[in-house]
Amino acid sequence: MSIRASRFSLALVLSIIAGNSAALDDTTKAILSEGGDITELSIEQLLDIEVFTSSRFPQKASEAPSRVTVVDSEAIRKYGYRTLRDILNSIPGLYSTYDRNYTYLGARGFGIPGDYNTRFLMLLDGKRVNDNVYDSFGIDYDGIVNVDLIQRVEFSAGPGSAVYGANAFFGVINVITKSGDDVDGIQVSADYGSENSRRARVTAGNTFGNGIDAMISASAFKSDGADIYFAEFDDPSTNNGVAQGLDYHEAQDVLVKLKYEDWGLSVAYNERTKGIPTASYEQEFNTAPSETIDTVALATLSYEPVINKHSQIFSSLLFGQYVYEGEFSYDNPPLTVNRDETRGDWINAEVRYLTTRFDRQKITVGAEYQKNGKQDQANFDVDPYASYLDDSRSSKSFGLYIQDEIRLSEQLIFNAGVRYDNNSIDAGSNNQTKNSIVNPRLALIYSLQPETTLKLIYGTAYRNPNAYELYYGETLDYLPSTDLQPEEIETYELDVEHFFNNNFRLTAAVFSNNTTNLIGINSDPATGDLFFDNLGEVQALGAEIEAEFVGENDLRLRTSYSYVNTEDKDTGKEMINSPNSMVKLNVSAPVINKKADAGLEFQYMSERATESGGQTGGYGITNFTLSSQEIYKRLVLSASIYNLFDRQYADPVSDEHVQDSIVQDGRNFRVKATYTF
Amino acid sequence: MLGLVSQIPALSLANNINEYTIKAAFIYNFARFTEWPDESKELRVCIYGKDPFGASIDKLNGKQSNGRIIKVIRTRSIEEVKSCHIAFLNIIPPERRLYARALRDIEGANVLTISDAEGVVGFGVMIGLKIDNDKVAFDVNHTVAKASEIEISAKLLRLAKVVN
Repeated sequence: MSIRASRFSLALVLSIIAGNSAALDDTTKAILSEGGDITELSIEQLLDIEVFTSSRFPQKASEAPSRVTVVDSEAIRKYGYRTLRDILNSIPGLYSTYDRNYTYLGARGFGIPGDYNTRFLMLLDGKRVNDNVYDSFGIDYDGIVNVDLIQRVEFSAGPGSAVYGANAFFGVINVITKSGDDVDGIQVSADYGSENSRRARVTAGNTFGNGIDAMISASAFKSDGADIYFAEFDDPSTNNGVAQGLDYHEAQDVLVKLKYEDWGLSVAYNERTKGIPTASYEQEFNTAPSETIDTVALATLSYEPVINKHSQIFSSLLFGQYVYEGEFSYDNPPLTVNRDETRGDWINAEVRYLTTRFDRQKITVGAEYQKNGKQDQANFDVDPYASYLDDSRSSKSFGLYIQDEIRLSEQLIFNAGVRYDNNSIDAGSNNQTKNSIVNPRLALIYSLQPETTLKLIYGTAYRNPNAYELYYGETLDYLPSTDLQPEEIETYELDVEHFFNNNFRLTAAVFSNNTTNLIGINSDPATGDLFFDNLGEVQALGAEIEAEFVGENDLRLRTSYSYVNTEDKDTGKEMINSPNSMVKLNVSAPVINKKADAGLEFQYMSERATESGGQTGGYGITNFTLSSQEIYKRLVLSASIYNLFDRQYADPVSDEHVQDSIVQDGRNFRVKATYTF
Repeated sequence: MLGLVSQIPALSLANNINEYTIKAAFIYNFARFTEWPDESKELRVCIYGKDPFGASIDKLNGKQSNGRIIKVIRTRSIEEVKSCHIAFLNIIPPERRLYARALRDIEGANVLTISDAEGVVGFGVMIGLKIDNDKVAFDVNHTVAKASEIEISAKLLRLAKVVN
């Protein structure tokens, strides 16, 4: 059997070589078959050789079935971005909210306080990062990767569930990290900033002669934090409203990447500790301990072979672990420490097949399976011991999808995708939840002329209630919420992109987002107890316009205005934490004889409604960074001032706070040095 | 099943000719059929950005081209590119604005710019390599080349798919 098989394959090989070489002359054939010097061939001969390319698959942003914004490592340097949060804040339509414990991302008018970024899908080099209890990921110092290691961030606005499944609700964030080749040496970096914050990083990377590309990096961050005044607690019994020494922040992260031919192996790790100065969850004010520790570890093995000139397979196996520990102080009395503990373990396997075998079509077929071995939550008082929650779950999900990009003509691309997902939570004998959902996405991409592209997009996305929303409810503060339904969104969007010339580009979008069953924290009017609830229907209508200009001497300007109006169909009211208008402006230019870059950033946000029916004021903040260019190849220096004009502003926060809004950082600075050996 | 299994080695063998091996050979030919205004004994072939060639471009090192000796240089400095005769630009991501910026930075230098990013010849790269029916082909932007005092031979212009 095996002998016959090998003979058969040899015959096939010979026939294919013969077929390929039929049109080639003898010298060409000789050089190709004997591995000779190809430079001896003439251009005419070279033009006749069939080659094998792996680079035909990547998709151009202008042909993607959504609006894609890219922020690269150059922008990270020029604007002094410290975390993923700074990067995302510069993208049209995105904004973030900070309650001095976690940072929450909002998009196009949706920024529900207290969600843990569960409505975005975060990818690290294309692999899912969201944990399996809160569906969360960090964008501050709790982000999975140090921003210095980011090659670029691609944000695809709008629903992506037709390919990516759950959580790709308002958008998909793909963080692409640097390779060993990009680092090319040993790099050390250190920075220092306001509130005695400091970060150090060591990275080594190289591509070796045998083709192995390796990178390893570790960093540590620490900030003492300021003493913060909260008017809501301004009473002699609560230190006149000043929370002392509770805004501290610490983080460590590690990234290891290995790549050899089609194989990739990566390990990403982040542990972040944040003190809580706000006395959230009815804690005793200005009382330690009050902190959360979040740890995420992801190990990914990927194999992405090019099968033949038409097809490639992308496969990956990911092991994820998420551990959360929170300590909260309550004066029961006596003063009691309450602990929150969460542990999530999961395995995610994905395989995707991409083929251009069929004329004018690019077809992707994929399957994803996730087994959530652990989704455990516990809550208890330490001393005297009292347990309020000890919940263990496991679940699995399975998704199948297909997408076809059909080139109807030179100008017109039709992109259609659909994904089926099946999720089941093994909730013991009493309640098992299981559901299936289908999400489509359709896009027409029309190039009116080379300079102008129109995109018409329709899509839906979903998000299942997560383990936290379903089962945390058995604790003291929360009521059970087991009848939660999945959230859904339906989007229509029209995008236009036009290049006036090589230096000037304008993009505009109008969109309608309709969400049903959004999950939020509600409180019982009688008892004040919190519980998770499906909200009614919410509609968001809006528009974005962005201009980008690159002038003489590398002067760069990117500015955008976005407008959105949200309406809760039940109440007729605008959503909480939903700014109508946002303006973003980024300008950079080389200075000091092109030895450095000056980067100026301005961000404006209009007023936002708060939980109690109040409002936070609109505000504009300005950041300024001066950073040296690669003229000093080995040494890069930068200095940044954030919130240059010391604008006082506050972010709306969730019901878990006595405060309606939480004060944000005033003027602060950072200086940084990076040296490559 | 038999057919399916045996097809795998067959296809990978037939496809052994990597596109960048061929593209490196093209670059050698571009060097031979181009004239530069300077008198240097060295012909500097630079790879700007990520190197897609690997060892295949190193085979050009030390080869003769019209009395000059080829030297292959990998660089991440656009300043250094100004001193090259040939620059293969491989900017990632392959965005139009990033190419436009690199081209502006080396404007005035006599550099034959080459790239295989899509559509770049349209906005100022002198030679664009592309894959056409599984074969390597190229476009030439003659206008830009002439402006940089680089003389591309009639033979290259004749074999190019598109000349503008």
